[in-house]
Amino acid sequence: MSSPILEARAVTRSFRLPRNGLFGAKPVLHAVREVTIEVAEGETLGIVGESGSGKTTLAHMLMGLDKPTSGAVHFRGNPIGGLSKSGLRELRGSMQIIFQDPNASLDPRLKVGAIITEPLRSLHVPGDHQTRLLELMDAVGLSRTAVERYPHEFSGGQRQRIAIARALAPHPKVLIADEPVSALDVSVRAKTLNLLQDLKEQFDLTVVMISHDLSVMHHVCDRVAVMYAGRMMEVGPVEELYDCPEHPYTQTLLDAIPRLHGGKLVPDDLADTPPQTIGEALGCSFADRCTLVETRCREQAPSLTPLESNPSRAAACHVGLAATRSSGGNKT
Amino acid sequence: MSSPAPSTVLKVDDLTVSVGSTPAVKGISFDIPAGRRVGLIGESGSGKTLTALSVMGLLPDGLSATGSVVHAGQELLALDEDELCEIRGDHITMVFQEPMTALNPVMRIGDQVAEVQQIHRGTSRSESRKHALELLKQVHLPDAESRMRAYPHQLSGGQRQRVVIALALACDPALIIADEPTTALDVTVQAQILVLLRDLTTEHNTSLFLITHDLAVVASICEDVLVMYGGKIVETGPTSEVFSDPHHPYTAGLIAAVPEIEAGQERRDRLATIPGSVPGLGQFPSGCVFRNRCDRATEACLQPPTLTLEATTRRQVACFHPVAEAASASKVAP
Repeated sequence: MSSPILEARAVTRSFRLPRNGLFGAKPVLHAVREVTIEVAEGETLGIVGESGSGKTTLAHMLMGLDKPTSGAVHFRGNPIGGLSKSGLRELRGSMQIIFQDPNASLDPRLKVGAIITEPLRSLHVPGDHQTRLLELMDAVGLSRTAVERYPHEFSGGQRQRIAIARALAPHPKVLIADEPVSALDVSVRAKTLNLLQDLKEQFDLTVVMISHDLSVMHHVCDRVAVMYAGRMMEVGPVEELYDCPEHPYTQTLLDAIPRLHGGKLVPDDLADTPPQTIGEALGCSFADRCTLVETRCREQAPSLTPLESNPSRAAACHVGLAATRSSGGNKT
Repeated sequence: MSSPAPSTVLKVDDLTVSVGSTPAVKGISFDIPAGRRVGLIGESGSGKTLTALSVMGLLPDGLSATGSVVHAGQELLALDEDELCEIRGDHITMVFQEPMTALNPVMRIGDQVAEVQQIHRGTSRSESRKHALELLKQVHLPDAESRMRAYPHQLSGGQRQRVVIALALACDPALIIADEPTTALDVTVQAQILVLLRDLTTEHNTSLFLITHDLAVVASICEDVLVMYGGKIVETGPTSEVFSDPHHPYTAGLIAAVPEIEAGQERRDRLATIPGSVPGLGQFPSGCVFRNRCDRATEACLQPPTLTLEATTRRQVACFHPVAEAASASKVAP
């Protein structure tokens, strides 16, 4: 792997909650706990997890939109925590984000042209903004006449294209996409995913994609990181991780995906048990739902460790599914 | 229990729903057989939710339905509000996407579930509460006894949807209509709710009409599927057959656009797409509604195709040039 363009080093983000009663300390919610991840230049990294897993908080910290409680985020080897205002502005030009809901992320009172060129103005990007605008309209497949229209005149898929064009305007190196297609219909989703793929190649982008949709992740990503209760459970190249997951939680997620061409749906009876994210948790967060749980899992939280069989993969599990497979368990 | 189960719980005939004078659902006809789970697939603007709402008499002001919707010999479209109230929650019930808005936030969930029987059956409070507890256990709500006293906000999203399903089952209905019941839920909770819906409808011999944009959800629990586009049903049939070998070009396009995880298969670089986009209300072409986006369209498609039963199968397709054999139907052994 080439040197990482973006990396999080043991980042933790905690939030103080309101006191439960009159007395006592304020409880602390750990949204992200001790997460270390590297994003290689040019790759598409997926972060999957269910609601409350901390995936969005992690993405915001990667972008510098939120500061880690401890740990640091590095962009091209430099920590982004201590950046000055102008340093931050430069960083914003290099990293852009697309949000889930294009209805909420576009200013309804601005024309499309003004929306897309806004980052060029606010980040003081040199060059002719109008030329850049037309380039971007072509790149995302919108008609050039659209610059004079307002967001409400467009469909959901077209609005997401406007949001993508705006994100690409300042020539970013890293694009963070937070559930970019969740709000879109099936056929529009396919087009948007194809567009993102094309743009990634055309502009040499590094993409961090956040999603709860494992099928979309499988299609788009080179590597996938699985989060649960603020911790990184498993990370690895997409094919290997899906074909032969190491962490029981990854397996649980894969079993729960409804398949188009039949296939069984294996629900996890404890799926609705919320993991403990408040206060200090002893042991593995997934222990209560895990089929492989052992005594040590409740005593000590496993750390993310590279697999012996494949150092490009890592999992945070004391037991591991590989061990159960080799001892007679068969994979279906 | 409702009267001896007829073979069809819902017979929809030539149903048209209009927004003002513009039709959004255009003369559709279908049956829901007793005890079967039928999925209705469609993208935004296809008219799938309007179809569900018109069955329940829940269309918002300004929208009108014509045609016929018959349940147990009764014409639902002709009923007034009082008569509809007797049907709703009793014979036909509904599960919505967002369980928080479907539940009363200031009423304990035990009382909410019990209320259904008190209203429709006139059961005593103590008896209906006993029944409510039974139902909450059936939907696998953990600690059902103590949760009877909980308020909706004290439950997780999945638990709330279980309570809504308990409400829907309270009077042992003939038909449950579920509109995107799992869209707001996490994937593992979604799997639980789908399996619950499947098992309970089998146990109670209840029909399920599941409306969703997610093809895989229908594939996992529905026996039959209806595919809607532009206010029309374009294809129907047993789910596994329709999905493995779609005959309507729109169905085929939708299926190809879904990224699927196929073990050991090379990922495709690009997803297949359908040319163009879904037209706005009232902007669909005359004749075949899919004609302007279809690569098989010819002059024949200027006339509207009718949903025709295929000779050899139980499938119906509304297309003059159906896809004979899906080229991409490379079946992977499970």
